[in-house]
Amino acid sequence: MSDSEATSMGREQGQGAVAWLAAAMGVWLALLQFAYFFLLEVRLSSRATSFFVALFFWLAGFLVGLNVRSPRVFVLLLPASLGAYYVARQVLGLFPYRLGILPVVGVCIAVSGALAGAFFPYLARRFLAVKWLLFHENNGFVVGLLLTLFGSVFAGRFFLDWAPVLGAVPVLALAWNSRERSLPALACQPMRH
Amino acid sequence: MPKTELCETPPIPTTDSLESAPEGGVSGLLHRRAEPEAGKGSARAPSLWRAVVGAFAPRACHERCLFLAGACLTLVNFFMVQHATVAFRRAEMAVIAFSLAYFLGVSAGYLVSDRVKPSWVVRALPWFLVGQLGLLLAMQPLHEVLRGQFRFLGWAGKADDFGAGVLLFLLMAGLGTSIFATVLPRAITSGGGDLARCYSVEVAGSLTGLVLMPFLAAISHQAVLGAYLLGAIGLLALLGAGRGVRWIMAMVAVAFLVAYPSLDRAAASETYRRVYGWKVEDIPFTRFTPYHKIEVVRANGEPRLLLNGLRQFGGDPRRTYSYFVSEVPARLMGAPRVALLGCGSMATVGRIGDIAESIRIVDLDAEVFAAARHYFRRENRLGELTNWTFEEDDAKHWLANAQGTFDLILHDIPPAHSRQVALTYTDEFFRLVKARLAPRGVFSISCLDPVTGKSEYGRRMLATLTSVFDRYYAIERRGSLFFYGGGLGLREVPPSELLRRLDPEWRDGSRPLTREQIQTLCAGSRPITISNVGDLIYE
Repeated sequence: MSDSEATSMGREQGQGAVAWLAAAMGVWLALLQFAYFFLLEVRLSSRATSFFVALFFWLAGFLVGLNVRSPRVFVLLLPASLGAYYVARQVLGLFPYRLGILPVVGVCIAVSGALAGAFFPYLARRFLAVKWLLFHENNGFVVGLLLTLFGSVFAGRFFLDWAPVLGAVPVLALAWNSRERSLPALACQPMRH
Repeated sequence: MPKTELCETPPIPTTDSLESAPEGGVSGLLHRRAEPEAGKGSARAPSLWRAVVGAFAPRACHERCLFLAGACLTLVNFFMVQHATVAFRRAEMAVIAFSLAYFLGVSAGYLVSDRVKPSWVVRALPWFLVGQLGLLLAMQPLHEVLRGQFRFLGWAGKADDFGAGVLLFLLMAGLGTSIFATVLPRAITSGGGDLARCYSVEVAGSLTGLVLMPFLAAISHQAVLGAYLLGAIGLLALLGAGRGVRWIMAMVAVAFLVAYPSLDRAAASETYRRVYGWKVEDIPFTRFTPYHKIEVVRANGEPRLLLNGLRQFGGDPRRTYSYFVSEVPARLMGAPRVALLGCGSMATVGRIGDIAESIRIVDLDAEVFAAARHYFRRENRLGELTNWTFEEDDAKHWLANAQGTFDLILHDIPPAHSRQVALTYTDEFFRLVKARLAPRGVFSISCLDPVTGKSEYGRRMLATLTSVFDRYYAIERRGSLFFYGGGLGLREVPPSELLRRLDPEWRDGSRPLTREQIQTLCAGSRPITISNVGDLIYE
């Protein structure tokens, strides 16, 4: 398949709805990841151990998500990762400052991390060059990071309650929008130089 | 089989490529990797751990590059943010600047990944590393030099800080991560477009860096830097750098690690001369921990404790602080059971060690405790006192889980320059403290900032304290306010009695305040909660 054919079928080089989806996903992942960090800081402990454990579970989940082949799993992980966050929030609300809760929260973090991992193979087939997927997602992550770093200190409670679900709204809308133009599974093609 | 562009040697065929993996993902992959082991007739079946490690271990050359790039990205994240925190002397600002620099560097790397030739990366990486090492060493004094230049140009107020911060931010973005970020997109290309496999190996590298980090950091900061340099030079070798370049970089790395302690001391001395006007005689102790850079500095004839470049102890105001925060309430109570939240130099312990029945010292960072115990033993007298214990814990977590109650709880935590610290100045935190007080117990805290000036910091703190504690009184001394609060059982000491019971040395210039006077001082100020800690951090 030539590049022009691929482009005409909806694969994009860094513009359009899928680029926005990648960026929105980046924003959401930043909100979700940092909401977990902030949640642990507020309801469990500010010790570095909590941060290291949270990051470990996120990356472990990410690894698993990356290696799940079915696009349906990504679709299932969208609500699951959001649900996992609110489960963690509820558990930490019921049992605050109990380190024994950390494994339960860790599993929730891993589920959300798996969404991040599953996202890349899911959307890679929509980009001619994978660098654009990584680029847009990362830019979205930067925006999410800014929102997070200010949101968590100027609207901490609102951030913990609402940021993950609000971050999910554009992702779900864009994912739904791009669903109708979905393509058959294509491996990411090598870049041209 | 695409020709590799990352490495000199072609990649080893990845038979476990996930593009050909069966539906079922990881489990399928693990299953397939287990089979050859069994086929070799190994004595026992491979463990799940070996299977997982085997699945994500780098095999081809481009995968080794990715693994090292992932590990380097994790390591650079941790030590660069530590150096930025010390240079900026504002933890939250440093985190924002560094995080943005880190991820914008990654974006820049992705963007140019297909435009820069691998040979260019090989040529640039050594210079990039040298620049990075220079930035690490010079960041702290450079921030002050840049501030000075901006002041010279007429950037007054906070503008000089902003200008210096932006320039450092650009340097961090350029030298932090960008070159490592070019590796992933290029490796996916040269690895046959298998994003899942390539990204997995990079994440496995990041995880390895993350797992190694606490062990390396426990050894020394040089161990972290050494591991990073080892990874970067390994990457350079895999990318095809010549033997000469590799040797030169190895020599540079060794020389840097050997000279690092003395160069770091020189940089810190120059910074403190510029910032505090000190004539630094010696820096006998420097240690990076996950929370702080701890420094003990001998300047102008006395030892000073600095955490992340900020003074914690040294000079007369700290003695005033420890007298009013610890000795005043302890003497009013008799022989209290004391909890000290945050330790610093622990001069407060030295002040009340003979009065208190017992003292529980709680701090997040055991290294601060160890440094203070050794270098400030004259002030804290831990060597001669026997009625103290230390617990390494987060104050919130400790308060929620401690056994029993305390007659006196002292708040000796640094000012709220970061989110982590600011959470100990909130309504929620003070309620945890109140729950741990004995019926007639006292919580003692300094407002750290003049309550009558333009700054809202002190008044917001006071408003928070008055919203939590039922009974309270305070002493104002030269603008600073020392607050003593408790539950309904607390006896509010009348101003005349309070003044009479102060040591004559401290009586002049001290003004006791009643509950009504305190309420007037903070009238109209909003309490601090976890929803608005930013008001304190960015005040």
